[in-house]
Amino acid sequence: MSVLFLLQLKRAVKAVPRIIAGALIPLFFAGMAVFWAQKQHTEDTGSLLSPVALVNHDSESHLDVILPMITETEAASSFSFQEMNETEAMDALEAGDVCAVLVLPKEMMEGILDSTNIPAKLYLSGGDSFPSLLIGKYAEAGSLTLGSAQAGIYAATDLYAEYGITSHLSDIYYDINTANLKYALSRESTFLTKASTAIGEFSLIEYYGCTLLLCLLLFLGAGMGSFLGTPAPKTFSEQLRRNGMGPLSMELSLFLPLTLFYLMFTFALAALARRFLPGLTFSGSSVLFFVCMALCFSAYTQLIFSFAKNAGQGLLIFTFLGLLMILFAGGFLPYAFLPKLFSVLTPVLPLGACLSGLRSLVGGALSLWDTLLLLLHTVILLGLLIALSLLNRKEVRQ
Amino acid sequence: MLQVEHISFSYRKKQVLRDVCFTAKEGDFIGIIGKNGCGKSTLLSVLAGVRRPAGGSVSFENTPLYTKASVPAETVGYVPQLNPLLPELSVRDNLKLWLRDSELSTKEETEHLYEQMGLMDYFRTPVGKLSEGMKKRVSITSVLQNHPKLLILDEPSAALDLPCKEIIHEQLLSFSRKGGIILFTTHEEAEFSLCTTLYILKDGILVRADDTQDKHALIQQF
Repeated sequence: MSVLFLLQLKRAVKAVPRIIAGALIPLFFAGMAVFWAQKQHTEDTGSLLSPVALVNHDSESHLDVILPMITETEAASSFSFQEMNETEAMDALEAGDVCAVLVLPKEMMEGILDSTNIPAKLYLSGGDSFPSLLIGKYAEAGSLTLGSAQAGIYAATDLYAEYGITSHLSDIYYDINTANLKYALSRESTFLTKASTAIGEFSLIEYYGCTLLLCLLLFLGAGMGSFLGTPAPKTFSEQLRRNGMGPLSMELSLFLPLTLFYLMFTFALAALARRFLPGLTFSGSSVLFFVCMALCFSAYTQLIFSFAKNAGQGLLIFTFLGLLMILFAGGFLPYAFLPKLFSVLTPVLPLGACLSGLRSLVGGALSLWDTLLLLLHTVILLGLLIALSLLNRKEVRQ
Repeated sequence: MLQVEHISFSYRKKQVLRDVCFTAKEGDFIGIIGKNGCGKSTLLSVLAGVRRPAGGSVSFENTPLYTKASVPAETVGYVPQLNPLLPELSVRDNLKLWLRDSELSTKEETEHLYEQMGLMDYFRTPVGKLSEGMKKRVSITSVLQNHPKLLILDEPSAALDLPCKEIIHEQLLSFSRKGGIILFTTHEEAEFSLCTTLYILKDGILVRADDTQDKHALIQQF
């Protein structure tokens, strides 16, 4: 038994360069899939701008100077203003091409200066669309701001006239307008600014770092499994059996080097990944988790390759099922983009449990339950492996 | 003395071996011939303890074989048709894997066997890089190194070149001369002459060939 174990280990060592090279190719494709997925949920917010039609009947006054100051405020940054004539604007509002029409009347600036205050008109689309409600709220806040600015301007005009320094009035008007626009309702005060993304508290690097780590282990396992899982013709196991080594001894002789390799790769990859995933620590609980993860991967690998009729079939089933489990666990796309069933199934899938545990570890919330769940998966997989090898023996003996 | 009594074996509903009986004494070189798929390999695997027969018994020197899970390698050596070797490992490692602790041979004797089989120059070569003939030699050596008393070989010289066949034949004859019993299957006319006894397996029944018949007449009986 010990000779067999050592020789299996020797075989595995010889195959390591080939296994690593083999893992890099599918990893490249997995990287592309991750990149695509990342693009899917980092949509350009520029496309969220709501169009507003601006009808300016006061183009001959100083309004042209003031208008950009308003449309370029942070508050108005959710809207794109498009100048149109009134007919075009009303047609666009009716067609739903714009969410509001802002009509600035003739001699509006003069009205503000001489306090006749000819009002601007804001037409909103019917219903209660969010952009319409929002611009209505901004317009309300804007008129209050304008009222405040107007009061300041009148006070400054009277004061400067009393002291005979009216030549500086244009400067103070500018300052008052600027100051008031600065204190206009900011967009932040309208929205709750708590960040909320499909990947929760994780950064993209943390989220997909976990996926890549698991994919690497999966692809390394594919190489190791196809190598160790189907070691030789059937005659090899027959001869072993004739020499007193039963199916369990044979499985053990494969399981031990496989586990050793998974342990080695798991710790090596975790050490490398620490640079990008600072949450990956080597405390007692995380070491225990890594050991359980390596055991779980070994059991899964060996079960699949024992079940398959040959190495090629084993490789196919192993990789397909592995990737499927990672997908179910939200490895490639966050749960927000997946059917709800996926998140329910994740804990009962071995690699799903690996991924969610790894994420807990990276997020600093690894619990004993995560480790125990992995251990439970390992025990179940080993149980299936033993049952399968006993069944195979029975078939051969018959 | 090997005694095979009333062995029968079925694959699902198809009966492959029917009431197979024969005996072999020390030094016997027994050849089993028959059509492809007639059950020759099955018979050998049953005699080697790989498959359990539906009925009958196999005993050697009046002791039943295969009553325990383990078949002592020093009693029965079995060389299957496909080599039970790990291709990534060297010749030495493969031989080491199948070498049992035995007081029957010294290290010198074992090395002498390796030399006779022409393996010394290939000790460090991975088995996967060897020719089929060399693999077969390694396979036979892995069994002979344990000094079995009964040697079962499934088409040992199939698809081998003449020099390779000669080396194998020499070793088998030497084994037989030392009192070992050989059971082997073959399709090679040239190997009929090596046998002290020839059996024909047809429709699951093993029949001893008439010693007086010539080779062509034997082949006609398949």
